[in-house]
Amino acid sequence: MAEPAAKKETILIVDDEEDIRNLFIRNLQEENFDFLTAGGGEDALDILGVEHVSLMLCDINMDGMSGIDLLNKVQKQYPELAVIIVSGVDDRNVARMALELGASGYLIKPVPRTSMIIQVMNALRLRDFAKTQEASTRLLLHQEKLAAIGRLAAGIIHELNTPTTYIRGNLQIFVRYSAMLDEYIMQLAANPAAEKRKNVINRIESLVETINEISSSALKGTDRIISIVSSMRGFIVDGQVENAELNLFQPLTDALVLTGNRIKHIGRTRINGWEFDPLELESFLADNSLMVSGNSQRLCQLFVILFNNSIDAWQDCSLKSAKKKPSLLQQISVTDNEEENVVCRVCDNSGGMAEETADQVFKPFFTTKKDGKGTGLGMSICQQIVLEHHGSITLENNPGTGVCWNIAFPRKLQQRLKEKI
Amino acid sequence: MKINLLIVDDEVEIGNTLKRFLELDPNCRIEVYTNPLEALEETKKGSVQIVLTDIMMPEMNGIDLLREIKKVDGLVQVIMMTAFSSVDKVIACLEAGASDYIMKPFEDLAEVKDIIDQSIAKLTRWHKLAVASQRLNVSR
Repeated sequence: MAEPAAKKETILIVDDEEDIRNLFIRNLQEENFDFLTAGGGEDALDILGVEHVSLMLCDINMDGMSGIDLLNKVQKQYPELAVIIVSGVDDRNVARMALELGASGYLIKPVPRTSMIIQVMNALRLRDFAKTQEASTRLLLHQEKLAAIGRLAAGIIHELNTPTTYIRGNLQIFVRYSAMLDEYIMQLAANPAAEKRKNVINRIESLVETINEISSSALKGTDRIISIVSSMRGFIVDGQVENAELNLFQPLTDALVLTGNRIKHIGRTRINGWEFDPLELESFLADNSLMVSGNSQRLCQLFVILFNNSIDAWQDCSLKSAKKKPSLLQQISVTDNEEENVVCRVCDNSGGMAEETADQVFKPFFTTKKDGKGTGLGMSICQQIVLEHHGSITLENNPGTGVCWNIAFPRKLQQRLKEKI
Repeated sequence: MKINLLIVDDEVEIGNTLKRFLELDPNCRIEVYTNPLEALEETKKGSVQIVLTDIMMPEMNGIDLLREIKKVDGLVQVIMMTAFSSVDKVIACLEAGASDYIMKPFEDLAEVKDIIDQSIAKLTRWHKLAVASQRLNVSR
């Protein structure tokens, strides 16, 4: 979406002194820009609300709203606007903060004309570059999504093929059997001799028995189709996922409550060393908070899948070995000591996976659960949810011991800066 | 001629469905296996004439099963079952000695029976031929 080259870029100059505003315009006059001016932060916001501005040159020290406050506001609302902060003080800490908040440049008054031109040009160039990069990232993500849909579709075809095969086969047998039944009933209607009559009735009985088998097999098939179809819903989100600032512990504990019934008889859960107890939930949440931007329901769904998998794996594992197994222990740690991410680690002692299983966990329809217990979509859904949150999920597999899922969510930039300031 | 037929499919319902249909022929004795390794052991006992096997199975794939069976007894008729998405594998199977193949989902189970009947006919011909050549040898 390249704009026509002839179109002039608009620069908004924000300073509470008119002389300075005019000086800046003069500095840049020969460079083919349109200019707008504002005497303060509020004015600037009004202008940005109606005009398409490419770059804002903004004084740091103004009455009312400061340049940093204004920068903070416009970064959220107008992510494509380039901002250069102009300051009277040569303070590297302030400059650094402005850049971390998203400013593309920092000028110190008095500003030499050439420096201003260079910074403005570079800020616009940087913005164009970011735009192109964002477009290609979006394209890449889109392609990746399409590829994932393709893989999923191939999986669905294969998975639906199996129940379809035996439902159809059984119905074909049913048609034959019903013709045979019909014939036997005709024979009975003809009032045969006792011996023959007994014979025919025996045959009818055995036919009915098989017909029962046929129906239950066909029903099993439809159940399987239903379960595949309903798991597919996990992939479908109505429109855009609504993200909000939320405490990561909220969906986490929600999921523990939802799976609580399954786990309470076989084990326990620890979060950051704290023994999970639904009765003490409120005090726990009051003490623990880690804000991420996300969708609470989707994140809860993610954790429910992980917890259910741990429980299923633990149960399978305990069936295999006759020796008494230790009870299930889910250990969850949530940390924010990484620069960019909030990291949630979910570990269990359910025996881990075989290496070749671990390689395929995210493949749609891959499952090790027996008897149609799993559709093989759980981990694909988890991956999708994490991707929706621009995060990442990796598996740490310890065969014979357990698994750890490392889920990283990007932290809100704003929050990070607030802590630093 | 009584025929012992093995059905090998990791989906037990598919095996059972085929068994129900094929057993309408009183000359067929059918056993269903979900594990190809167990099916192979059964084949080694020497009384199996026809094996109907799926290709995609977790423990051992159908092509390997086919090769192993052919090593044990080249006369055993192995018929492959495959989903339409893996047609390319069929060629590899035929090259490895499979008698025929069946597509899943089955259009009509009667066609499955036809394919099996062809194999039975082939076996019967071979049997007659073997008996005849034996007689020939004796009369010489």
